[in-house]
Amino acid sequence: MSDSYATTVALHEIRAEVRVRDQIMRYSRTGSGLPVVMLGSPTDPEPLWAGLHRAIAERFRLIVPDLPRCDTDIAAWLTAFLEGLGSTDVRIVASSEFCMAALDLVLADLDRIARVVLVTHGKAGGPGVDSTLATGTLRTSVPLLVVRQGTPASEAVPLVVGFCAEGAGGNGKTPY
Amino acid sequence: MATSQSLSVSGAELPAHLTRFIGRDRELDEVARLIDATRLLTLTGAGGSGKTRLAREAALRAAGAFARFAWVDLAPLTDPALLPVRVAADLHAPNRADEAPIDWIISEIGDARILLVLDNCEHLVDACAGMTDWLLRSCPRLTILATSREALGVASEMAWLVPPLASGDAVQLFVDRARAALPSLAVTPAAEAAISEICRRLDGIPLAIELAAARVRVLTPAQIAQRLDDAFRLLASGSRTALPRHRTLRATMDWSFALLGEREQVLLRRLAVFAGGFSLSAAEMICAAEPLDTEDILDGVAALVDKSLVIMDAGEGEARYRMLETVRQYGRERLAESCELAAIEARHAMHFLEMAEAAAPNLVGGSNSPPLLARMLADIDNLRAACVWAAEDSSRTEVALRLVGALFWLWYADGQFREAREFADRALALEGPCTPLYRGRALLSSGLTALAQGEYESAEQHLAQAFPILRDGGDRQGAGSALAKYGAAVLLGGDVERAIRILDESMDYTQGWPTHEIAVTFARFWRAWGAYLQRDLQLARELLQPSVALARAHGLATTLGHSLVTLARIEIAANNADLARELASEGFEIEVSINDAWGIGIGLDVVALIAVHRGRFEDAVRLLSAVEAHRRRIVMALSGIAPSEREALLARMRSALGAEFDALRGEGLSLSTAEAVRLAFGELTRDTTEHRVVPALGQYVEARSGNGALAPRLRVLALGPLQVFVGDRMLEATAWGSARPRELLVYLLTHPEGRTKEQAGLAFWPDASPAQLRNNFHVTLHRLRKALGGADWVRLVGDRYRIDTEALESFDARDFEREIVAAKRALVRREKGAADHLERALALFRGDFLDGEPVGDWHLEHRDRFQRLYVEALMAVGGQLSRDERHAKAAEFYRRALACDELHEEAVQALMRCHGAMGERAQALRVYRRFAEQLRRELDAEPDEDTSRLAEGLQEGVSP
Repeated sequence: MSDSYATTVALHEIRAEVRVRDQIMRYSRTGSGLPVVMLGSPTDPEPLWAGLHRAIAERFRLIVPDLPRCDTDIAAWLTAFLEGLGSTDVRIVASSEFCMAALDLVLADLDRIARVVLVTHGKAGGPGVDSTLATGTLRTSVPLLVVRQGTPASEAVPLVVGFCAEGAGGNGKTPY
Repeated sequence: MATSQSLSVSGAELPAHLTRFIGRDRELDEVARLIDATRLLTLTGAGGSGKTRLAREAALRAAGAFARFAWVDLAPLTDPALLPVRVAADLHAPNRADEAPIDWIISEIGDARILLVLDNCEHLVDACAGMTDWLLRSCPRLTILATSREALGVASEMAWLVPPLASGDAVQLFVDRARAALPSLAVTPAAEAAISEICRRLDGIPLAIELAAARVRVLTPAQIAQRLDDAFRLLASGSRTALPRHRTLRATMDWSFALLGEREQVLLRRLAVFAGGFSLSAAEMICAAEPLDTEDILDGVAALVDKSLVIMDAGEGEARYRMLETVRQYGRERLAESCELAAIEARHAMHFLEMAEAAAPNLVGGSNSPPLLARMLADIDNLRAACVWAAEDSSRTEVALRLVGALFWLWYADGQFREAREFADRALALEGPCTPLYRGRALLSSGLTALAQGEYESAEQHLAQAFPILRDGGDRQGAGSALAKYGAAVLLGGDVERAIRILDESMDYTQGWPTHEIAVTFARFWRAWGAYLQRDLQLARELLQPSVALARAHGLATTLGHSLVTLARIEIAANNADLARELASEGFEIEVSINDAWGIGIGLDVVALIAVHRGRFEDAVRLLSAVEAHRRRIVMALSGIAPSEREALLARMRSALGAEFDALRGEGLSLSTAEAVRLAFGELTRDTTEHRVVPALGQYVEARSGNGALAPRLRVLALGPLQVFVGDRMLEATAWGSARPRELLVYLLTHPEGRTKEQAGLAFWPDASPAQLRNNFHVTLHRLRKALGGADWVRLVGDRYRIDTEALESFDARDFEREIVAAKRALVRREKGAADHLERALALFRGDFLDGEPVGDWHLEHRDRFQRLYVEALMAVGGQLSRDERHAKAAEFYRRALACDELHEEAVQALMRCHGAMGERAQALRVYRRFAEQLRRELDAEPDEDTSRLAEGLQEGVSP
């Protein structure tokens, strides 16, 4: 009668909370599988971002945190958020304004982050990442994919989804 | 089902913790508030952060606000598909054949205010998310408290990160656990500073602190702090900066692991293969492989308990061990790294397969051996893990099918038909090579499950396939059972004529077999059922009555209950109401006493028919309705009344009762099984003067052991050098591992009323901490049971361990004392036979109690008592011989008395008199002089006046 109950969670976006010390952090979650944290709004007007959001929700456990105001240390906030959430083997997909925070997060918690996708400004084929980002990327050993916002969704989405699906199981060590 | 020692509170089986819960007041308040404010609260945090302990304490505090709460430990569960089955089982939700397990849970909870605790969800996050989401939507007053390293991500979930222990609490935890390992630990100011540093370094993570505290037996707190500091500095690349919390725990685990000896490391990782705990026997069977010998396992487990890496659950009877989930996962990781994982998993599966196959013949009927059933259920998670492992790969087809074949009656007894069916389907779908016989047994198992669930077509198909395979494979019992049950499936499917033909064939097939064999019982029972359906009541009686006699003779409770109840049904049809009531009373009592759900169902039906026959229509309607509810609650499909007959009866009642009918029917449908049973007993004893007492199953078990199944075989000789015999075989020193198990055996024998483990511990290890004492006791007990080869010979009754008197053929110390008592009684009463008793007693005394055994001081009082009795016996026999003027013989006894006690003055006098009477004055005086010298030397005393006078008389030539 209710054998299909397990599928219901995957079909709907849900809202939930994480409480770390005295801080309450809210997020939405869709789908199941490997956790992918998207840093950026699902309502981002950029067409690539919306396409990524849909495709990732179909294949992964998509987590979209309600990020705090800009004057907060986003990387520190995300570190606490992920600790409270307890997710491991996490994939981060960051829109351009959160790329630095994503890289800082990787450096702060190497065990928890498995892969990072940076969706940066610019058109496909344009000049590479800016110098600040480049410095950050050099310091991390986590596999990294940089995608330009202007890349057509038909090319970028399969690339990102495929990249996120790789390396499941992390480093094989339980992060106690 | 709780597999470890557990605490029952408001219907929940909570994990028991032997250690004290420390601190966390603020967190408990916060969690209690959140339980009240949210419907799904998930305590998150790294392994070892104390989620489970906090959840347990919070659940206990919150329990009062809920009608009920249930605790489900998901750590041993590996298959997400079985999640709802597991939760339903722990909620005691009845299985229903026609519904999904999630609906069993929903029906059980309904709109009741229930707190459901799901512990250790992290490896099943998606499955838990799906289930909790569905349950919260379906059960409006349900609250779920989950513990998981990862949030479930379900709507309205509040994920709450468990914080580290406050510094004061952390220090207190360290001291508490350290003192459990080393009671004499002194917390000096310097030690306190070191402990504070350890706790700071360990980020207040409870498990890390416990692991460090367990080392105080070999390292001072300052040394622990220094070594941790060194280890962590390396990890943090020498920077001494803080590590992330999860890495702190891992580093502590690495540190703790590195401090183990190589053999302990090997053992720890191998023990991680167990799901939900293990016995020492299982650990020995599975983990003893190069470089570990069987003898290493006991000591290794004990060492790991000392280091807080393994936890002992003393429980009832045999001790069981388990690992905290975090430690187990760490061990498993190490096991995978060692390349041993595949081999150890295979050994684990094969061990539990063998255990299931060995138990299977004794579980037929599902309730014939409660102690065995309990032992099997203690390992249900290991059995499940073996099933999951076997079904993973088609190369394991044979193992999977053997498991299906072996586990049916265990699943039957535990009511786990859904699980039985799912595993059977998966195993039967495997396409690897398999001996046909095992496939046949799996088909039989699957067919029996389908039959119980009322899926007659599927049952018929599987049983028809099973029969020729089992017949050709030489499994006579299996083939006979398959054929009879094939007939039953066809019969219950409605084709009575065809069923009778099959059942006749089944009768022919089992013709001439010993009547107590299960296949014969099945054939007769179902053929009788067929005869009853054909209204051939005489044939039905003739078929069932021998089963009753047989079941009585062999103590087969299930067969007896089913046969009596079915005979009652036949007598109702034959209009013999009084006889029917008599048969039903006895049969129904047995069904209830063994808690046979199917038997209770057919019993309720029969009592309903008796009520109809007596014209008691109100109770008849209640019972007919109650049995419908009972059948809906259980997976068993078969009822004692055919559907058409039931409808006709209800129509008749409706007509007779008019408007009252609907209310009575509603009342009956709402009765629980226990209430229906009470109503049925009321009906059976109505208008009689009989006051029946529901028999305990023990009666039937005893009846069986009365048949010689448990012959006393243990002989212990403890007066003199210790010798222990099992049957005709003397146990050599190598069988015991060490002297302690032998000592425990004698200790328990000298206390026939039993001893608690604390009493034994004080006698054996007076300086040990309570934790060490428990561990030492259970290790020694395990060795004792293993040496004896009969685990049941050491019984736990209440909180006392004692040697089963049924198993004991003789214990010389006990027999010696009995003979002395009998002799004394005969002397007091001036009866004959005293001399015989004394001689038998003296013959038993080969030397001092436990002479030459390295035993503790507890034995001294016994040794002295036996020696005193022995000397008294010698003196008594000597006295009698003296009176009979057999002085030479009497002198021998007095000399033996003096050999035991050189300063026994009465013996000296008696011996002097003997010599005097035989004219050996010089000899008598030598005895005196030797005694007087010894007395002076040892006690600086002189002989009594009487003795000196006797010597003087002898000197002067006076006859004594």
